[in-house]
Amino acid sequence: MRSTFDPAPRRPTTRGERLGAALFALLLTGLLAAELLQGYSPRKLSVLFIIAFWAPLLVVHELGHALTARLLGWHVHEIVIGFGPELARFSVGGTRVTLRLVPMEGYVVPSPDRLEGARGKSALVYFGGPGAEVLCALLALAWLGPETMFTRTEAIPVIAVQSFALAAVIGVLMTLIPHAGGGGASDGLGILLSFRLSDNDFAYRMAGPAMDEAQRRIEADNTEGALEHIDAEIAHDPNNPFLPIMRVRCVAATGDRETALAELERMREQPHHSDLVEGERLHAAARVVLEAGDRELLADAEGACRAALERMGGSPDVQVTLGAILIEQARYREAEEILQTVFKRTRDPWQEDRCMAYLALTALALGREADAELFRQAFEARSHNRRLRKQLSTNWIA
Amino acid sequence: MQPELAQAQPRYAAGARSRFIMNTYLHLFGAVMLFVLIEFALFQSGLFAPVLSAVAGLPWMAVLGIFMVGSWLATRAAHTATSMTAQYLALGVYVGMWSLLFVIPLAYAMMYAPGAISSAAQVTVFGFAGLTAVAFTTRKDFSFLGAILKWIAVCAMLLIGAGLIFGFELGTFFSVGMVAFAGAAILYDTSNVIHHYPEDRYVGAALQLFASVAMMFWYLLQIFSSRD
Repeated sequence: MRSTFDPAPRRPTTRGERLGAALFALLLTGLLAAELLQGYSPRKLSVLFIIAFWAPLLVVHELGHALTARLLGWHVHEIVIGFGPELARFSVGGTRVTLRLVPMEGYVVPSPDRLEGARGKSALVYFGGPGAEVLCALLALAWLGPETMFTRTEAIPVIAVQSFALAAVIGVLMTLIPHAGGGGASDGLGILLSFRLSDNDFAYRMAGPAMDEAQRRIEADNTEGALEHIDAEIAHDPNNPFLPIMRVRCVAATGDRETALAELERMREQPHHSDLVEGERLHAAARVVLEAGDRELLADAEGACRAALERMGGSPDVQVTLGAILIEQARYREAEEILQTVFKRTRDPWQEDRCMAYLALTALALGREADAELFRQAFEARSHNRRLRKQLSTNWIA
Repeated sequence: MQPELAQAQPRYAAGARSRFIMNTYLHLFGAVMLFVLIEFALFQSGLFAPVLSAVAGLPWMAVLGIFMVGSWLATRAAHTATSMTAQYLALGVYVGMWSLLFVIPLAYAMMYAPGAISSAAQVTVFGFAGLTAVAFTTRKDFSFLGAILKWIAVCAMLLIGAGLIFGFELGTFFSVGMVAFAGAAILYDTSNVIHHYPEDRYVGAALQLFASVAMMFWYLLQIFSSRD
């Protein structure tokens, strides 16, 4: 009845907000229970069945994406089920699986093996999720038969199967209708966009897992490991333009600023026609300055970040780097504004961690100790980012 | 001890923000007046009868589907269109759609629950005024309600859809829950008007507030009509 327009998407952050949200949810759950009990009929159980089937169907949906990707020879980097606090993280056959508290939505991060046929395969991977749910609905239809499936009944087992099929159909409709919202494109929009992506977009996706892994190793203070990893990836895929750029960041993280700058200069002399590649190069330049702590070049690094953002359409990675640069320039208010924007929208837990650490620093600098402590505690409770841990503890002692 | 995360939002020039807030509430008032005028014209002219039979003649699922798609398009246009004409058109269409949908409960209330309309209207006005006062006096940023409201809306649609498909009626507890939902939506929208909306988007902000107020009135009307 009400289309939600969200000019400021934000999750409950403070203890008071979380308590308020929980009490409100409890009140509505109580009213739902009262509604189902008032004038009880077995048909009302359909609501509970649909809710109960939602999480298993979500798992089926995400596995549909993942299995399709694997069947097409793609690598599945990550499967995330649910949102909210992380419950468990484990690996299955090289795929990182994360289970989170609220199993209402999820996502899969696949990456192509090669550029040939990537558009068609991407569309098929997007279709894999809703396709698996269509299969579930068809199985339910085959089990009950069309007549029973489409006839109202008081028999609870039949209502359960009908609800299962309906939940699957709702899932299909919600994901296949093309729209963008929350953390990204719906499957329907993804299918359509797959055919408009350039080779560089797919090259970026191919490099994505390796770049993420290298970044995580850098953050865990394993800079040599990051360099080794990215070198191995370059040997495996020597034509990918994004991997050498990430290598520059790894080199800078080891402390070898001169080599990193020389490599960047060499890249600058051979400009790439792709905005995505140029954006990543500019971002890498900003990271090199940040790693080196060269205060005289901070203004240039800021300019590089802003130019990268123009080319890459507001990449959250670049926004976080810009936030960090603004913190170094003591422009805390501007930094906080940018970091809040990323923190509100991101679904990536690693990105959330970075934002929380930097937001703790900005709040501390702006004299809001309670906010700073809240962000610091949330960050330290879960993050493996040793570099930011060190930076935070240094600031807290200071 | 509350983190003042609202401080992280862009600073606005006080005068420009005040003008935006004033414009938003003037447009909301205009939308409500347009709604009242349309209903008055429909019921005074007797045109409500063909509208009622047309709306009631369609399957309720189809009516809701048309209304939801129309709402989505109007909301999107009001929030994204650069042309002011398009924004006003979106607001006008949106108010018009609510007006047509309201013909059913208003006609029912007139026939079977005299007094329900004025009671629902009074409670809506007091509820809206109270919640608006809370948002303006506390200056609290209620934007954290956005995600919760989104999921409650999904659950509400699920309940309505399941009721239509499986054949059961939703009663008073559902209406009370939807009034609470509408109240939270008013707090959220008002907070966004204070803290977050771009200052050239007062038509979209007014549409969003109108949607929340209309929803509250709708379900209060259900409650008062059923009680009587």
